[in-house]
Amino acid sequence: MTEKNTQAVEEKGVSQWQLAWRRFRRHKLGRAGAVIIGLFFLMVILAEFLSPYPHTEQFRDTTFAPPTKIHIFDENGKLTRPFVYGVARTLNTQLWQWEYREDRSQKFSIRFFVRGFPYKLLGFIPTNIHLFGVEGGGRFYLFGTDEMGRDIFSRVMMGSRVSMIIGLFVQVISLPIALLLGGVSGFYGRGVDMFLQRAFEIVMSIPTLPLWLALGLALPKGWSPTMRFFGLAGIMALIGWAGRARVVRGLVLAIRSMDFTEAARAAGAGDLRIIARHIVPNLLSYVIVSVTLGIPGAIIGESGLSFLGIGITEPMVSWGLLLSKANNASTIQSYPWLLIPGVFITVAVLAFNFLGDAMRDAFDPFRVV
Amino acid sequence: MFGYIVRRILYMLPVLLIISIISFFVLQLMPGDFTTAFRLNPRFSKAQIAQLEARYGLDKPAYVRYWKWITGIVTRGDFGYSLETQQPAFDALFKGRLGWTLLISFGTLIFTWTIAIPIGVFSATHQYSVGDYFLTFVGFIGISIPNFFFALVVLWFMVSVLNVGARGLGIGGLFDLQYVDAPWTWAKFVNFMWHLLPVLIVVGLAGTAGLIRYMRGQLLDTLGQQYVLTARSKGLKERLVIWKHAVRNAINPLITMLGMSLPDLFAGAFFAAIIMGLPTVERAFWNSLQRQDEYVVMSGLLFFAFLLQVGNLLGDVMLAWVDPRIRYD
Amino acid sequence: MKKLVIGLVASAFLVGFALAQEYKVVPFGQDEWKDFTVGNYGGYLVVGSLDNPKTFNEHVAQETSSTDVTGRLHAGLVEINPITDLPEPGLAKSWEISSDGLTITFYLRQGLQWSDGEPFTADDVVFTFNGVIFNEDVRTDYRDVLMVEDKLPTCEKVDDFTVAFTLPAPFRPFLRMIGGAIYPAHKLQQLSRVYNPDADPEALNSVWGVDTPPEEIVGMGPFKLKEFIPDQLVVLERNPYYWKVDPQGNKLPYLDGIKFVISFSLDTIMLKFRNGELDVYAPRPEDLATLIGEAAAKGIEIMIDPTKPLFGTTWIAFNQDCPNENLREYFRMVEFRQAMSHLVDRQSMIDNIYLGLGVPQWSPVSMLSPFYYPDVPKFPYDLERAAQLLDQIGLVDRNGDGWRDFPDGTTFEFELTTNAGNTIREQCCQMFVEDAKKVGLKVNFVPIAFNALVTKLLGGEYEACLLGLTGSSEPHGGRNVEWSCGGLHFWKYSDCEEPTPVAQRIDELFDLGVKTYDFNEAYEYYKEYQILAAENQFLIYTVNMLFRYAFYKNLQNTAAFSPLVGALGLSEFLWKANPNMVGNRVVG
Repeated sequence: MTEKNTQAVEEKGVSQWQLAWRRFRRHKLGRAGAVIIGLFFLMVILAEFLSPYPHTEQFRDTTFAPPTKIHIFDENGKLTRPFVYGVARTLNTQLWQWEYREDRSQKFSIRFFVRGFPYKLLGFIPTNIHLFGVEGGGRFYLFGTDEMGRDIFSRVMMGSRVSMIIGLFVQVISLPIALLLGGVSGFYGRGVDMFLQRAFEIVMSIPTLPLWLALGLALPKGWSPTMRFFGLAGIMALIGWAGRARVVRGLVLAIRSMDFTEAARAAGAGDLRIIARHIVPNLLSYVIVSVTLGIPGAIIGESGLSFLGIGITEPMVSWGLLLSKANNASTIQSYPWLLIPGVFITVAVLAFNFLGDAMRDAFDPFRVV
Repeated sequence: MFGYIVRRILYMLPVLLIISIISFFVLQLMPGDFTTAFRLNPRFSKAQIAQLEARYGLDKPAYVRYWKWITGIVTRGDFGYSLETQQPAFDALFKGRLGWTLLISFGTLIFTWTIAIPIGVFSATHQYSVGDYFLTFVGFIGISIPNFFFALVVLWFMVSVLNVGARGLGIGGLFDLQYVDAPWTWAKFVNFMWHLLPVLIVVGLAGTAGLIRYMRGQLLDTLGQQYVLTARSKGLKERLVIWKHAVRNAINPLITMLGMSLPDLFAGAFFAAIIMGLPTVERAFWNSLQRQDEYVVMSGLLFFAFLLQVGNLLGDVMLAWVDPRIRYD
Repeated sequence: MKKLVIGLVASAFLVGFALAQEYKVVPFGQDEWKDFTVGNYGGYLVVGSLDNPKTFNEHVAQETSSTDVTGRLHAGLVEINPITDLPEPGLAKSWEISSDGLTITFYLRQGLQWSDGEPFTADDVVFTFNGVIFNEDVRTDYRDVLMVEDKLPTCEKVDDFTVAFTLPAPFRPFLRMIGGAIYPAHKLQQLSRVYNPDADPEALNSVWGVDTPPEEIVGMGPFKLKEFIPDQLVVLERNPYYWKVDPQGNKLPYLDGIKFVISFSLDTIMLKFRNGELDVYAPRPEDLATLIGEAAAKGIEIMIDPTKPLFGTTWIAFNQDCPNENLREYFRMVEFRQAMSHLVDRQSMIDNIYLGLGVPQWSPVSMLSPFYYPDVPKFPYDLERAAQLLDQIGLVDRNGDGWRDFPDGTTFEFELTTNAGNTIREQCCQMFVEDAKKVGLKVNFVPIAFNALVTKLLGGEYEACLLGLTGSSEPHGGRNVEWSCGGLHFWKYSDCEEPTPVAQRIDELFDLGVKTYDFNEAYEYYKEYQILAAENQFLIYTVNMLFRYAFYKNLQNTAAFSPLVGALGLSEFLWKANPNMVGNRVVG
C-alpha cells in the first residue's frame, strides 16, 4: 500500500500530503463534516458569547417554556426587525401542565451584540457582550427552557464543551500510550515485543462496557464535577489504548521493514533519526484518522454513562447529560424541545464519522477498514 | 488445528486469572460495600450490620476474600453466591437470562448481517451514486443516536403514534402478558417475533452501520483485484462475478470481526434491555454492580472476559475454515 | 383404590364442617366501606414492577420489589384498615388489654387454614414471634419496632386459639406494630434455632429465596405464589383458603391472581399502561398531561387528591458536628438554620418540580398522621429575612467579593449534597444553591452516589445534605431519627453524650408519647415535639408531593386508593367488570 503511494509521489511530483488534500477535497460528505466540526469547536470556544443567559440561571416563572416564536411582521402585517412577544403562563389544573401564550402587549426586539451576563471571552478577556439577546425584560429562549426554567440554547452551547472536549481528551490520553507502547513493541521486537503483546492482549480481553460501569461507580465520592470529567475521560481512555497499540505495533513493524527504512539504516541512520524521519510521518495519517474516528465513540459513551447516572454531574452540562435528563416518555410527548441536545449529539457524531472516513480515504485510498 | 485450539484454550487460563485480579481490584475501589444500603434503614441496628458483615466475610481483608473465592472456583467450580438473593452467583446472573441473551445477541447478529451485506454490496457496486450516499447516511445515523434514547423513542412511537395497543399488541419485554407463562404455540412465536423486531432494530442499528461500511470497503478493494478482472474478461455475468468471486473473498476478513463482535453485541443489548425490559445478563450484572454484590460482579466480569476470548478464538477458527490459505500449525 | 380416595375426600369434608370457620366479613356498603360493592370472580390484576423480587421471605425482604409481592402472601394478627388507618382484627378476631396496659391477649379465628390446607393455630403465632421475629439470628426490621425500653415483649400460648403478649412497659403503638406476617410453624419451625438447636443460624434468612418452588411458600394472605420468571413476570394466584368473605358470604379475593410485569424503566411502565397492558399506574407529575389527554378515549380514571400528600418527607440537614469547626459553630446557631429555611423556595418547587401537585411541609410528622400538628412555627421563603438573619449572626461580606465571609475574612462556603440520579432532589438542591447565591451565600452542590452518601451521612462527615425519610401515621416510627442516641440522628450525633436541653426534652416526649394509651394525651406530647423541632429547624423540611393514581375503569372497588394503599394494598377487594380484560383490552 505505502509502496503505491510512493509510486504516486514519484509520478506526479507532489507530496503525499498534497495528494491527500486533493483527494479529501473531492469527498463531499467529508467536507461537510469538517465544516460542522469547525463550527462546533467555534461553539466550544465562544460558548458564553453565544449564550444569551448563564447556563445555570433559573427563570422559575418560565419552566418548560417552548421555544420562543420569532416574529418579523408586526400587528399591522408590516415587515419589521425580528422581535418576540412577552410570555405569560398559567397552570392548567385540568391537565396539570403549564400553558404558555404570547403576551401581545409586550414586544421586545432581538438585537445582536447586546450586553448580558459578564464572562471572560476566550478565558481571559472580560466582557459582557453576547451575540444576541432581547432588550428590556423580555425573554428569548431559542430552544425553550427545561424543568428549572433554564435556557436550553445556552445549555447546549455550554454542553458542547464537555461533549466535544471529552472526546478529544480521551484521545489525548489514550494515543500517547498506544503510540509509545505500540511503537516500542514494534520497533525493538524480541522480548519486549513478546511481553508487550501479551499485555495488549490481556487489556483487550477486559470486557469494555462492564469495566466502564464498574469504574464509573468507583470514581471517588467527593470529586467535584470537573474532577469527575477528567476521571471519566481517563476511564474511557484506559480501555481504548490496547487495540490501538496493537495497530501501531503492526504499522511500525511494517514501516521498519520497508525498503526506505532499511536503506536509511544501511546509510548509518540512528534509531532516533529513523523514528523521526520515517516512522512518525508514516504513523501520522493513522493517528489523525484514529483520533477523528475515536471522538464520536467517546461522545456516545459519555451520554450512555450520563443515562446511567454515572457520567457528568450538575452544574456541569454535556449534551449526553441534557439528553439523558430528557429521556422520558412524557417529555417526548409534552416537551419535545428538550430533545434538541440529542440532535447535536447525532450531528456531531455524524460529522466526525464523515470527516474520519474522508480522511482515511484521502490518506490511504487503497487501504480498507 | 486441534493442537492450536488446545493451546489457545490453555492460554486463556492465565489471562482470565489476571483479569479476575484486576476485576477484584476495581471492585475494591468502589466506596462502601454490600451492607452500605442497609445502614440508612431505620430499623437496622449497628449490631445487625456488624453481624451481617461477619457473615458475608466483608470484615475480612480483600485479599482473603479473593483467595477464598478463586480457590472455590478452582477446587470446586463454586463461583460464590449472591449476597442479595442468596442464590449461587451463576444463577443470579444467568438463570432465565442466558438463553434469551444469546437469542437476542445471535438474532441481532443474523439481522445485522442479512441487512448489512446486501446494502454494502449495493453501495460498493454503485459507488458515489445517490443510493450509495443515502444508504451510507442512514447507516451512519444508526451509530449516531445513543442506544438508550433510540430504544425509548421506538417504544414511544409504537404507543403514541402507531397506537399498537388498539390492535391488541404489547410493547417492551419479550411477549404479551398472556404468552409469558404460556407453552410455546404458533401464536406465541408470532408474538415473540413482534417483540423481538424493535429490539433487533435498536440493538442492531449501530452494528449494521459499521458492517455496511466494512463490507463496502472490502468489496471495493476486491473488485479491483486481478481475478475479478479475469472473471469479467471471461464474459461471466456481472452478478456472478460480484457474488461468486468478489463477495466471497471480501467477506473473509469480516468473519474475524464476527467472533470479536460477540461481547459488543452483549454490550449493545445492555441499554436496550433496561428500557425495553429484556431478560439479559448484562442488566443483571449492572444490578449486582450497583448493589456491590461482590461474587456476582466478579463472576460476571470473568464471564464477559471469557466470552471475548472464545469470540476471538471462534473468529480465528472460522476464518481458517472458510479460507483454506490460512494455517495455524 | 378409587373408593379409598372418595372416602378420604368425604372425611376431609366432614372435618371442615365440624370446625366452625370464623371468617372475617368485610361489610361492603356500610360505614367506611360504603363505596365498595360485591363483585364477580375472575381476572388478574396486572401491575408494573421496577425490579425482580429478591426474596419471598417477608420478614427479611427489604425493597418494594420484594415486599409488594410478599405483602400479598401473608397476614398478621391485627390489620390496619385501609380506609380509616386504624388497627382492626385480622387473624385475631379480638383482643383484650389488661388494666395496667402490660398484657395483651389475642383470640384467634378458629378453623382457618394455611394456603396449603394445614390448620392455623396459636402454635403458628407463637412460633412466628419467638422463633422468627424475636430470634436474633433473623435479620428482620420488625424486631426493633416492638422494642419497648430496649426490651422485647414476651409471647405465650394460652390455648390452641389464644396468645398473650406481656410488655415490659405500656406501649401505645403496640397494636399498630404487631401486625407482622405470621409464618407457618409446620413449614419453618425446624429452621429456627429456638426450636431446633441444630439449625443453621442462616436458615431463616435464606429460606424462601427466589429459587424456592412456589408450593413451598405458605401463607395466610389472599394470594399465593404461582410462578416467578426472572426479569419478566411474577404471578400470584388466589389462596383458596383465604379467611375473608364479602357480606353475601362469597370468599375473597375476587381476582384469580396478580401479575407483576417486571420492567426496569419507569418510562416503559408508563408506556405499557398507556398501551393498555397494565391496570394501574402511579403517574409522575409530567405524565399527567398525556394521560389526562387520552383518559376519556382509553377509559382511564385519574385520581388526584390535593388534600392527600404522601407520607415521606424531604429535608435539608446541616451537620452540627461537621468536621469543619468554623462551619460547625454556625450550623449550631438556630438563627442560621432558620435563615436557611427562609432560602427554600417551596412554592417554586411545587410549581415547577411537581407541576403544582405538592404542598409545603413544616413538621417532622407526616401530614396524614392523626398526630400531625399544622400550626408549628414556619420560616417561609423570604430572601430579605434570610439576609437579615445572616447579618445578625455576623455572616457578612467583608471583602466585597459578593460572598459572605467568616469573621476572619475567608469566604463562608459549604457543600450541599444529595444522592446523584434522583432528579427531583437534584433540582431542589439547585434551586437552593441559586437562592443562597442571591443573598451572597456560597453553596457548592456535589451530588454523590447513594452508597457513598450514606457512608458520609452516618459517619458524620458531610456538611449539608438534602435527603428524604419514609413516614407513617405513627410518629414513634421517627424515634431512631429524633432520639438523641438514635442511629439516624445524623444532624448531631454528639447529642448522645452531651444532649442539649431541647434534645433531652424531645427524648422525654417520645417516651411519654408511647406510655399512654390515651390519644389526646399522646397528641399533646407529639404536638410539643413538633413545635420544638420546627422552631429549631434541625431538619429543614421542603415540600411533599400529592397523591396521584391512574387506573383503567374496568377495575372496581377502587374508591379507597390513597397514599395509604394503592391497588396492591386493596387487591383482596378489587374485582374486574370484565374479568377477561387487562387495561382496556380483552385478552384471550
